[in-house]
Formats: sequence, structure tokens, C-alpha cells
Amino acid sequence: MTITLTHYVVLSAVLFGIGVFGALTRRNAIGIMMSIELIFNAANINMVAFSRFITPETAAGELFTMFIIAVAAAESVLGLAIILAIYRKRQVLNADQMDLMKW
Amino acid sequence: MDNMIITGMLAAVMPLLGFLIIQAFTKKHHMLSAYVSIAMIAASFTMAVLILLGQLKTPGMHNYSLPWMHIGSVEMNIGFMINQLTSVMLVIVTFVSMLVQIYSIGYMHGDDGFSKFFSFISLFSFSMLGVVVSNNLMQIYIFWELVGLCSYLLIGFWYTKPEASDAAKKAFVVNRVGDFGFLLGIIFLSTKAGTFDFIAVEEYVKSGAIDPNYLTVIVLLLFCGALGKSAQFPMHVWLPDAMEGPTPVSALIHAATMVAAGVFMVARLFGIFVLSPGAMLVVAYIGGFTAIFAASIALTQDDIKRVLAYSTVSQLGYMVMALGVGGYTAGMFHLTTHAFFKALLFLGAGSVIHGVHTNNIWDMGGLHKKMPVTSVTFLIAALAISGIFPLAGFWSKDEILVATREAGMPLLYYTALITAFMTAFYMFRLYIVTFLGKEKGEASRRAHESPLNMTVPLMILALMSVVAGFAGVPGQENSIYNWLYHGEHPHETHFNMPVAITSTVVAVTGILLAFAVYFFNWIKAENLKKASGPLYALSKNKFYIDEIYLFLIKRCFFTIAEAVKWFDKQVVDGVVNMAAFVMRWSGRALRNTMTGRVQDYALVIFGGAVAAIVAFAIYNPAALQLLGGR
Amino acid sequence: MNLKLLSDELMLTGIITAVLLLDFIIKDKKQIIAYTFLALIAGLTLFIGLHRQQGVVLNGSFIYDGISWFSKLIIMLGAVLATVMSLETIKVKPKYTGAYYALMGTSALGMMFLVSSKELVTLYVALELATISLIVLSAMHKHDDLSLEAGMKYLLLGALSSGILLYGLSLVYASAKTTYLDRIMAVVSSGAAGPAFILGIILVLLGVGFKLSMVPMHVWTPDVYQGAPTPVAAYISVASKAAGFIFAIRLFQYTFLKLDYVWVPILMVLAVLTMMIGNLVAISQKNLKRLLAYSTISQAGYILVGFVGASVIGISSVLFYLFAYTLTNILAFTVLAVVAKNTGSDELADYSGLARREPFLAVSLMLALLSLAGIPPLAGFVGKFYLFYAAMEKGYVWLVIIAALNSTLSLYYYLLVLRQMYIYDSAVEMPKMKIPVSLRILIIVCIIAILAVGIMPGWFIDTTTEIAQNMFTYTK
Repeated sequence: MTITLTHYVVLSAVLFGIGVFGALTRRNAIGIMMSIELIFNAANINMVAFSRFITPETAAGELFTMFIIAVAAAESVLGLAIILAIYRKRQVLNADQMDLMKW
Repeated sequence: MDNMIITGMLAAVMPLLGFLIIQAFTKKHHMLSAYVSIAMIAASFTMAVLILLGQLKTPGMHNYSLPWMHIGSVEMNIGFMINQLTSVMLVIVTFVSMLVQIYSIGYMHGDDGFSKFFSFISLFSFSMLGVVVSNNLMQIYIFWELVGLCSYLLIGFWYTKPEASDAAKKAFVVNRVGDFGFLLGIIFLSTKAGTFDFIAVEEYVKSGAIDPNYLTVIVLLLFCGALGKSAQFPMHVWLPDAMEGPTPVSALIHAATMVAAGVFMVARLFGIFVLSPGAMLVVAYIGGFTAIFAASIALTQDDIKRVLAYSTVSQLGYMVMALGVGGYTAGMFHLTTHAFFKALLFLGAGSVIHGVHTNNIWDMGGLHKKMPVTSVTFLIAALAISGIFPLAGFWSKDEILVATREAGMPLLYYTALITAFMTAFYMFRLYIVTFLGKEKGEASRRAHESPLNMTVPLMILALMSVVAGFAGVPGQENSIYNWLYHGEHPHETHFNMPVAITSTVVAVTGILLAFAVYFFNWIKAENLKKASGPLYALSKNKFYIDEIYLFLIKRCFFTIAEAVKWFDKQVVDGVVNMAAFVMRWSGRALRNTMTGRVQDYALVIFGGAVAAIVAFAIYNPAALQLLGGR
Repeated sequence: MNLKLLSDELMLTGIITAVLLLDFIIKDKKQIIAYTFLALIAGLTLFIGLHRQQGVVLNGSFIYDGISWFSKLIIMLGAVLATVMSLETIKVKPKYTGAYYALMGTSALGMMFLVSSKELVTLYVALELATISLIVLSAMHKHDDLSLEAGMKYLLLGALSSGILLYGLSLVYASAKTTYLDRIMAVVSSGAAGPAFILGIILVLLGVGFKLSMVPMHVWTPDVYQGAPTPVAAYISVASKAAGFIFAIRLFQYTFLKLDYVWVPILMVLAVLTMMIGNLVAISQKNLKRLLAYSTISQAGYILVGFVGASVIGISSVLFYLFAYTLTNILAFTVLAVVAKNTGSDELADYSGLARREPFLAVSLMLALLSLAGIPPLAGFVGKFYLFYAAMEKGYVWLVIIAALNSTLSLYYYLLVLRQMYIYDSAVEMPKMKIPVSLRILIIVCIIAILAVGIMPGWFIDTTTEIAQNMFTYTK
């Protein structure tokens, strides 16, 4: 079986779905971050696949992916730092307990 | 730019200068502030008189615009329009404002906010003059809002008094509701016409380029503004409460000038209004209803200022009704005379309050001997407003009666007659109870005449209340009617003897009845009360309008609160209108979506995204056309 | 390649480097860094204002046109005003002072690239540079639970919306076969769009909506505003929102203009929801910062009303409003910052009797709120009128009615604040407040500007109109 663009798109859509599901259901803040990373990866797969199948003559999609990966890494670092700081101060790791501000 | 424009411009700007000087330099020196303010308004008044004299000599339209901004291809200007209408209004505003300021030196003496008071009054005068000289819709709206803001500041002048601040808020909110319609009307009209200029807009509308039904909607929206500012039913509720402000403010803003702005606006846009007969009918009937409705409330009020407040609402209804039946000059003429005698009534009331320190008329009595000047001038004003020959009110009121009669609206004619009867009755009820009879309380025994700076304005206004009417004696070659009317054909006026006699008889009957009840006690007031039964209660309680509003808000609110337990705590006092209630309710409900949990937020985001996509997928075809896009 | 066009960005990069270097050199008296930064960015703002350029570099992925000039000015204005506000009110440890101002610089840098980018990768990277810097700034008060929580929420929800945006961008890329906006526009105008393209556009719209705090992407706004240091909240509310709107203009009013049947209906509905939800929820707020947050949500709704309006007038009205709104919001937040510095609280209850204690602050806040409510002759009125007018030009009568109704309703909660300040008295006698000179000047400047823009809007509107036309006429 040859792997076509459709396969990639479906894979990315599934990954996106898993990411969304995770982001909505994981209680642990780090888990939510990981789920969001999955959403990013879904976009990445899309980008690379489109670049390969639709515009093989340019590398725009691949380039985009490189940047997304870099940005996502920065975001993760920042996220971990903030979550760590909250944990140090309040011993709280679950996102649903971080609700000092509401309404 | 001719001399008349320059004079008008200066007249409008002078009070602003006064405001700035007081704010910047003389805040600490009370008397100096007052003198600055009065000097400025006196200068304005002089210029206004010059303009009036010029207009009397050669009536005509002077129009001048400075470019202000462009929106697309539409030009917006700062403009000045001086014609007969403007010149009359200029004189009224500056004249009353000047007298009220002189009067205020005495009345506000010793108040901590003395300088602030004069600076606000100056700002108000500036805004009001801005409304008067505007030559385009945008500018009139801006000054319109400014006037509202000043009124808010002045009603709430004694802001430590909770009633005063509540009243200020009520006035502001009610006015904003009216202005909301006004603004929409302006936007609708000007996007259609592609201009804001009064003259150009009027020409555009006259060319028939607007669908008549759409025009009716526009005119009614514009009229919403007048409804709020001129306190017409059902938006009259703010005016009586506004009496919490200092009495000179009531005289200037809530009797003579600002509340007349609505009437003035209708007059200014009269050329557009008349093109929509349907809307004119609404205007006429709202005016008529307001007139009789407010008069019947005034019959039973005990607070001297409230009687006058309802009387103002009623007289404004008169003017609106006159405009509605096409009596442009009659309405404007009544506005003019009313400004004088109503300002006089309020200042007189202020003088009384100053002397006896109470607002309740039943605590007064026998003040004629203690305060002769106030009493006599008040009597003149009462006669004038009742429409007794040959005082000012007689001529203007008659003209309105003739206008309704000639328009072929008997219902409105009889409404106006009954209103005239009621007016005479409650004015003399007020006069007799306050000034005649025996002293009733400690308060009235200690009463004393007010100082000269308060009584002189009263005398001047009394003089005006006597003579102002002669400008409009019908049948003269150069009467106010032929002069004021700017349409194609001058207004035909003739002295209508039957109407004049009827109205006089009605007024005299009212006065005599008042004497019979309150002076000679031939008819016991109690019996009258009993005889009128539930009607009395209705009137006394202002037809329960406030209560109905409150009921709609609070009672309904409680019922729902029972059903939905969560609601229980949320009952907040001071929610004065329906909108506020709905807003609060839905605000609280919506607030519950903001739980503070990040995942709930994420759910909102994703749910919203999915909803947007699904909704678009369903309504995709021609979605834009569906929403009325071009 | 004409590097001159990048001079603003390069200079800002230089300023950021300088601040970081200074941070190494100066051991104590860290305030020097703050003042240096302020002086430098103020100079840069002046430079941008006086040196408007025109041109395209980097293969057409970076453009310097009127709209980028104007929005850079707004962004830098926001940065300068927020920096002035920060001088006296920020409570970070001295060793982080350098980092704080450097981050302020990088976020401004990101926004400046964002408003000039004409290529998707550049747009995305610029967007993230701005957002990530702002997230750190929000969490800057490390000792404060609320600030940390604000940072966390901003981060997670921001990442989420970037995910949506990226997914949408990937679909756009797939359908248009390019990442350059001009070429995407050519594809758009050449033929009908497939479902994938449309889905992509909707996702992008929502992703952009995060920056605008447009419903349903508004959820982060109140929490972040409340938790973040006040100057940062002010900065986010003006500069970040302005940059987001320029981003949206470049994408929708320009690139996807031909596909307006896709985004206009969605935006209209969302505009209504944004106004309604912002205004309604604001009414029951007890914290003034949160109240302002909801008020800015509703302001975004008004801007969207103009956004969907006739193209040149619409863009012009959005630009004008952003300018007016920047001044007004900075004014409001400055007063908040001063009061919070003295009382340590943003609760509405603590504003009781402010009018008697500090008439200057009370009047300033009153002017800001009245301008937000759209009362003439303040800047907010002309701005709002212009927005509504733009929508009316396109014939969206019902939208204008709802918008006008909303602006009437909004007055209600602004009046509640006024009532708190003017009528209620505080229970305890409070000492006189200290108003730092810098903030006093800031407040006075803002007030004068608001009045000036409100009374003489002619010049500003002519400028924004010219800029809006410029975007369409000037495309390489």
C-alpha cells in the first residue's frame, strides 16, 4: 500500500482530536501542556505532508515546521517554569485547582 | 463669514471661557468666580441681543461651516447657523442663564461648591448655546450629550445626598436611552443622505429619495431624543426627580432651557418632520397625552418643586403637541413665553424655600406678608401660565389651541382645554396654599424676604412674563409668526375669538375653583378627594409610573428569584429600570461560564470553534445576503 | 535588499541588547536601566513617527507601508506609556528589572514584526515572540499567586489558540500552495475556495481572535488582566490588541477579502456576542481590573463592528479607534495602578470616597470611563461613531442598532464605578495618596490627548483614511 496524502491528513486530524481531548480532560497542568504539544504536532504533520505532496518544489512547509518546533519548545520551557513556580508556592499541580481568579 | 456668524460664535464661546477661567484660576475665590461667570454670560447676552436686533431688521439665514473631519466622502463640519429661530433661542438661553446666575449668588451663598457651581453653569450655558447654533446633526448631537452631562453634574451637585445622586443617575440613564434612538436616527439619516448638514439633509429628504416608511422610522428615532430630553411620556420620569438639584439649576436647566432642547430640535428639523405625516401624528398625540397626564399629576403634589416639575412636563407636552399638529410658530412661541414664566416660578419657589427651608406646601402659608416681592411676582407667573389676558401665556397658549383646532384634531383640542383648566387650578392651589391664608408652621413664621440679588431677577422675569406675549399678538403685520416661519408660505394667523373666550373661561373657572376649595373652603378639599375617589390616588401617586417600572423590575425579579434559588442573593437595591435588571440577570448567568478553571475555558474555546464551523456549514449559502449585507 | 526598511526593528533589537548588557554592568540602582529603556524607546517612537517609509523587503515577506507605520506607532506608544507606568508601580526584585524591560522590548519587537509581515511563517513567529514575552511579563510578580496563575492561564490558552491557528494555517497553505499573502490573495481572487480552504480560514479567524479577545477566545482576558501587573495588563490591552487587529486586517480585509462571504457573517455574529458578553458580565464585577477587562472585551466587539464595515472606511475606523482606545485605556489603567500602589487593592469597594480624597484621580478615571462609554467630546465618542458609521455604509443596520444599544448599556456599569467614587464614603479615614510625578504627568498627557482627539479628530481621521487606502494601492 502506498501512503498517500489522505493518510497523513487523517493521521493529523486524529492527532489533533487526541490533543483536544487530552487538553480538555487531563487534570495535571503538565498533561495539558503535553496534549497541546500534540495539537502542534498535528499541524506539523500537516505542514510537512502538504509540502511534500502539494508543493514539492519548495520547502516552505518544512521550514514552517522547524519554526513551530522551536516555538513549541520555548513555550514548553516557559510553561514548565510557571507550573513549577506555582507548585513551589502552593503545592498545586492540577489545573482545576488553579482558580483563584474567577467570574 | 459675516458679522452675524462671528457674533454668534463669540456668544457661544464666552461661557466656555468662563468655565475655563474658573477651573484654572479662580476656584479658590468664590465671589470672583461668580463675577467671571456672570460677566461672560452677560457678554453672551449682549451679543445675542445684537443678533436678535439684526434678525428683526433683516430676517435671514446665515450659515457657516468649518471643516472638522471627513468620513469617506462625507464631510463633517463645525458649523454655525443663525436664523430667526436661533436668535430667539440665543436670547432666551443667555437671558435666563444670566438672571439665574445673579440669583444664585444669593441662593448658593455659603455653599462649599460655590465656584464649582458657577463653572458648571457656565459649561452648561456653553453646551446649550452649542446646541442652538449647530448647523449639522453631528454637532447638535455632541452638544446634546454635553448638555446631558452638565445636567447630570448639576442634578447631582449635592452628591452626598443619596436622593440627589440617584436622581442624577436616573436622569442620565433615561436620557441616554432617548439619545440612543437619536443617534441611530442621525446615523440612518446621514448615511442615506451622505451629509450631516441640516439644510442639505432637508433638501435630500424633500427630494423624496427616502422611502416614506423608512423616513417615518428615522423621524421617530430622532424624536426619541426629544422624548428623553424634553421629558415626554413615557420618559418623563427623570424630570421630577431631577428637582433634587439646587433650585436655580431647576429653573435654568429643568424648566427654561435644556428641557426645551427637545422641542427646539424638533423645530430645527421641522422640515424633515413634516414630510412624515405618520410620525407627526405620533408626535402630536404623545405631546397631548403628556400634557394632560402630567397636569393631572400636578394637581395633588405636595412638594412645591414637584408641582412645578410636573407643570413643566405638561407645558412641554403642549409645545410638542403644537409642533405635532404643524403649529411650528405656536410651539416655539410658547417655548419662549414659557421660559420666562417657568423660570420665574422656579426662582420664586427657590426664594420661598430659601425663606422657609422646606419644600412642603402645607408647612407654608401666609407668606404674602413676609415675602411680598416673591408673592407678587409668583402671582404674575401663575396668571401667565394659566393663560389670563393679557399676560404672555394667554397669547402663546391660544395660538396652540387654534393650531390644534385648525389641524382638525378635536380630541387634542379638548385635551388641551382640559389641561389648561387643570393648569389654572393647580397653579392657584399652589399659590393660595403657599402665600395666602394663615401661617401654618414655625417655618413660615420665621420666613423673610430674600436679598435683592434674588428678588431683582424675579422682578425682571415678571416684567418679561407680562410683555413677552405682545410679540405674538395675532393679526399684526410684523408679528412673531410671519417673522419666525422660514417655510415657503408665512403662517396665517388670525385672532380666533371663540377659542380665546373659551380658553379664558376655562382658566378663570380653574382659578375660581381653586379659590373656592383652598381659600374660602366652600368646597372641602377632603370631599373633593373623596368624590374623585381612585382618581385622586392615581394622581397623587403619579399614576404609579415609577411603581410600575419598579414593579416590573423588582416584583418580576422576586418571582424569578423564588424559582431560581441561585438568584436569591442577587437582589440589589437601586436597580431602577428594566434594562438594568435584564442586564444584571444575564450578566450574572454569563459570569458563571467564567469558572476560573483553565479547562473550562478551553472548552469554551473549542465549543465556540466547533459551533462557528457547524453554524457556517449549515448557513453557508448566501450567508452574507441573509444578514443584509450589500 | 533595502535594510533601511528594517531600521525600526533593528534599532529596537539594539535597545533590547543594550538593556540586557546594562543589566550585567549595573549592579545596584537598577532604576537606571528603566529610565534608559524609557528614553531609548521614547526616542525610537519619535523616530518612527518622523520617518515613515514605504517598501518591501525579504522577498515580499516584510512590508513597510502606512498601516505598519501607524500600528508601530500605536505599539510603541503603548510600550512607552506602559513603561512610564511601570517605573513606579512594578514590584519585581531588582535583579529582574533588566529582564522585565527587555521582555517589554521583545514583545514590542514581536508586534512590530507582526504588523509588517506578509508571509505566514514570519507572521507566526512574530506572533509567538510577542505572546511568549507577554506571558513572562504577566507572571513576573513571582511572589504573587494571582500573577503566576495569570501566566499559566495565558500560556495554556495561548498555546491552545496557536494550535488552532497553526492547523488553520496549514490548511490555508495546502489550498493556496504558498505562504506569501500576496500570492494567497491571487489564488483567492482567481477562483472558488474549497472546503479545506474555508475551514482553514475559519480556524485562522478563531486563532487570531485570541489576540483580540473576541468571543469565544476571550476567556483568558479577565483572569490575565486581574493577575498580571497593572502596567502589563494595560500593555496587553492596548498594544497586543492593536497588533492583533492589524494582523486580522492583513489577513481578512486584504488577503481573504474576496472570501468575505466566509468571514463576515461569522465575525458579525461574534462581534455581537463579544459586545454583549463583555458588557453584561462587566456589570456584576467587584474588581475594577476585571471590570476593565470585560470592558475591553466589549470594546473589541465594537471594533469588530467597524471591521466588517466598508473596506477603506472600515479599516480607517478601526485604526482610529485603536488609537483613541489606547490613550483611554492607558489612562484608566494608570489611575488603577496609582490607587493600587497606595491601597494595595483593585477592589471596587476600595474606591469609595475617592472623589473626596483624590479628586484628581477620580476625575481622570471618570474621563477615561466616559470616553470608553462614548460620551462626546471625548475621543471614544468619535471613534465609536466612526466604527458604527463604517458598518452602516455597508448596510448592516441591525448590527449598528445592537452596537449602539450595547454602548448605551455599557454606561450602566461605568456609572456604577462613578457612583462608588463620588457618592459612597470610605469607612475608614485614609491617608493622602502619593501620586508619583511621572504618573501625574502621564495622566495629564493622556487626558489632553483624549480631549484633543475627541475635539479635533479631523487630522487623525484623514491620516487613517490615507493609510487604509495605502494598503490597497501599495502592494508591490
